Amino acid sequence: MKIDSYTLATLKRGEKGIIKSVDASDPQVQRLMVLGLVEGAEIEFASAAIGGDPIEFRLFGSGISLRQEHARHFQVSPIVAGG
Amino acid sequence: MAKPTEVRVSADQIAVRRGIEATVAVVGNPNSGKSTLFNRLTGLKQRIGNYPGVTVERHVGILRWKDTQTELLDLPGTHSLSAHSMEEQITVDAILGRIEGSKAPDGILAVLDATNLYQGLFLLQQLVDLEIPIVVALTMNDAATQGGLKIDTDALSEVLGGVRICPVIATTGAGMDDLREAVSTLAEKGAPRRLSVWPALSEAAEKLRSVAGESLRPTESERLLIDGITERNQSFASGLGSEAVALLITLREQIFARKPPISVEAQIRYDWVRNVLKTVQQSSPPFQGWRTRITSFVNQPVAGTIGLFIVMAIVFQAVFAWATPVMDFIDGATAALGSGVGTALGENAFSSLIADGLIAGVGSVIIFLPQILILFLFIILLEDSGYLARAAYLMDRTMRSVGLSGQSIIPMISSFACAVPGIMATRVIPSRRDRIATIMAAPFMTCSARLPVYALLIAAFVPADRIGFMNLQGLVLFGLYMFGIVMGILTALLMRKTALRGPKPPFALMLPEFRRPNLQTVFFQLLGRVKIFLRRAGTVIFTVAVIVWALAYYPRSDDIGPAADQQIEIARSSLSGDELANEINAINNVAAAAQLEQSWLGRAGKSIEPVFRPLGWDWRVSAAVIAGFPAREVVIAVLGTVYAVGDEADEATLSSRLKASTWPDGSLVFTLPMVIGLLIFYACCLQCAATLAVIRRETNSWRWPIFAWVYMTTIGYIGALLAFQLGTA
Repeated sequence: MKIDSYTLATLKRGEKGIIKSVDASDPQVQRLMVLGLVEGAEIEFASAAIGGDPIEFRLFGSGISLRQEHARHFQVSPIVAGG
Repeated sequence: MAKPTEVRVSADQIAVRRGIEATVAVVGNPNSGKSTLFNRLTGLKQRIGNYPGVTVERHVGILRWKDTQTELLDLPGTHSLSAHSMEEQITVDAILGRIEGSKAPDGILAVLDATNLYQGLFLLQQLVDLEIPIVVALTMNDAATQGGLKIDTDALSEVLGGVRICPVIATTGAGMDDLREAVSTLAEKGAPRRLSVWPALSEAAEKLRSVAGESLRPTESERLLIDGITERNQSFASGLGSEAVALLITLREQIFARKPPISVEAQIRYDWVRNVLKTVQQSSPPFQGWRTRITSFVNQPVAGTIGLFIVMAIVFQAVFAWATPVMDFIDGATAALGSGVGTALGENAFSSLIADGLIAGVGSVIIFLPQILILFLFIILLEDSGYLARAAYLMDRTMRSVGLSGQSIIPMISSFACAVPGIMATRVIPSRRDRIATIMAAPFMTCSARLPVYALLIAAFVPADRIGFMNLQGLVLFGLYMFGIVMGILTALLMRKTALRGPKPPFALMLPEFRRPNLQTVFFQLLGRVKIFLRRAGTVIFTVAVIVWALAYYPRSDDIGPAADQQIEIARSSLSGDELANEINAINNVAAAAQLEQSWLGRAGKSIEPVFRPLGWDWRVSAAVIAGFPAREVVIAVLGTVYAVGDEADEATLSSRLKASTWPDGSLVFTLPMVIGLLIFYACCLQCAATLAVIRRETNSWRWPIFAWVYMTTIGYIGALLAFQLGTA
């Protein structure tokens, strides 16, 4: 998988990543940035509701849930466990 | 020391105002423990009002410390001063003193959640930049420690330019005296220096101020640069001259180029926060406590969703089962009191007013206080523990299929208590279409005022058989709640497919950690709800009970009484003992029924009876339903009064009177199809003036309340018609 196709929507249970870039054209995504989903933030997949959507992430210890369609706007670089 | 400032207040507030030295605004993220802290600081000295013109509740309390009194203003939780919603704008306007009739606060008490410094510091840097004296209460320290977080408050204070930080634990009261002292003396302290984490913005803001004038504060100038001139910031944007507007446009282009300003602001401020966190916060592996275990259980998609339904089923079961003993007691006490008073005062109009009007009318509403208490208790507990947000998350996908978002779940669950706060809770929904669809759905949720009607009819007409661990009555009640939910969802779907067609609603939600609800907060909220209920019982329902009693008692016919006396004389000459007593009783009852029938209420009920006749309702039920349109719980009071003066009056309780109620031909009025129809009517019909008023305020138009009323009443009527006609045929 190419790094640039790796987004919050492709993270799996227990995986961590750092947000690399944000496509902020959607006002919804801007709102998520105000909640702390910005470049450089470390984020961890926590859970998903039935059907895999919405997704809950851990962001600096807090839970935040967003939908697949918005999660795609956040490119991440995965953090390898222990690395 | 700040002198008491002159402010415009109403006469009844002056007594409270005397000796108030300063006003301090309490500001923080949603779920930061703000309300708990506010309750701790002010205790019972608080009142809830409204901001003029808007429906955001204004919570004000008094903090006493030594010989000073400080007024605390609890503001809605917000993530940023950029104001994405109406509530956030209220917070911003209140802090800046832009709300007409209220002055700017003398200080800010910023509530910072130790477990969520990340978002907390984002808001805090904006607050420090306001140039208002500020003190920080660091809450949730116990949870932070359990979560493996260690916070260096000295370093944090230094980063914030020397702002005082008071760590507190609201549950034990640790650190509270320090905080009280800091808040009480806050107004004497100077404002903190601006942090200016974004030099380019600060410079541009100064340029703008040099043109727009000094009355535009630095923060307001910065907000204009970031947000532009919008509908929401009219409070300070409307004063700009054309030169300032032109400069504003140029400066915005310079700073942001083509990037969305909100995203640039978020990036710069969170970069600063991340750097600060590196120096002030250390984290170690979290302690695996009960929170973690509960969270990991409800995080499993299927188990979590099933869990949600079980929780809701338990709530409704508890409402019905736990309250019964207390309700039976109140019922018995009311009946005894009524007959005692009736006997003591003899047979006259005054005695009838007290026994049949007041005691029967108000008593039949008070009896539902236990159920309402239990319902509110559960809803408050679910909200305070953070479970409601979890429900919104779990239900988002389902809600999306009907054109809503998970965020609509919280207003809907709140509407089980009362549609008025439920509709007010829709303010967190950002999209207007989505919000109005939710407002239209909310009144279908079974509110606590419908509960008495359901409870009365179910207790009277549904057998108390057991099916597994549920009893049949509880099951029927659950079914009625489900019916309301389905109707509400169908309505939302219909609205989103027709009048409110539009793009998919957005969804982003913070999921707070589970926490043990704070008993004090639960107590205060419950107390507030009980007060509202009793005030209504004491005013609206009291008044309606008296009016209905008068309508049912007057005019007295001059012929009925003597005619009955004559019949009794005849009976005395031919009968004796029990037979005589029974005959006298029967004659009196027939006379009472005749009196009622020719009373004003009887005539009114009869004249509208044709409208409700196809539903199987007699004139008494029709009259009660009409009387219930201002507030639906009044219906019970009206039934209580009407049946107390009618011919079933010798039955001890209202439910047994209903069961005995007959048509003139002797057939029962309350047959199963008729009762089902009546329940459907109550499940749908919008009999609540307060709900209509709040829809009017929240949608800012008469169109929606009128539509909601006509729509819901029509559905209720048709539903009751179908149930009765199909069930009887």
